[in-house]
Amino acid sequence: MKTIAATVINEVVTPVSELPTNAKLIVFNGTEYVIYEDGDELPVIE
Amino acid sequence: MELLNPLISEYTWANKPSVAPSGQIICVTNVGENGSLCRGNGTKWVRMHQINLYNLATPVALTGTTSETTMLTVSIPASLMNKRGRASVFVLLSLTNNANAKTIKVKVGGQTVATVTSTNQSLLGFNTWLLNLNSETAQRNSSAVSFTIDTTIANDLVITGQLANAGDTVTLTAVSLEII
Repeated sequence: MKTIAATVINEVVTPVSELPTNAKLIVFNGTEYVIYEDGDELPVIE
Repeated sequence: MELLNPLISEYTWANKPSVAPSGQIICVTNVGENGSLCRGNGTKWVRMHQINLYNLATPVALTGTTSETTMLTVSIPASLMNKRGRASVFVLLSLTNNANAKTIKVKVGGQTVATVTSTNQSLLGFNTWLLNLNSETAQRNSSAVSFTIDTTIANDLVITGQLANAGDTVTLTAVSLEII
């Protein structure tokens, strides 16, 4: 599991670097982008 | 029999020749699902067919904030749309099924071309598009709103989400971007 920090650009929360295209799931949790990869336990999303 | 056609040279979109002889065909290897063909018109390289430019492979979920948040960014290469091209976007979402609003925006070149608000839905799919009006700098969207986005330069297509209640979740489950 990796994280990518967020910043605010023109009043929009935006990742500071490009989000990966080969992850299993990406979640913005209100603070940062959490990158779930193979082998990571995925969160339950309701 | 030789399978490879030696008359069609391969380039990336960025390094294609600056000269586009009329009738000359090239293969652009890094645009489209397995490359794409372009034909010179004497001035520039023009797509010969529609292109599936992007297809989301990783779901992107948003929760924990009421701020507008970027969920996806896709670059549309400079001049790929051409004068009569249309960027067509299909978006599929899963959402917390309650009365709180969840707002999705599709932006191109910093301009909002679609805004969709959902309540009381667990799934939502929508289409939107941006059509060049025989000009690379004049468009209308699927709601007939006019835009003046310069498509001769690369533009990001950005999808943002915004929750009325930070405890809810909205998830991008599918996105298809076609340049038609």
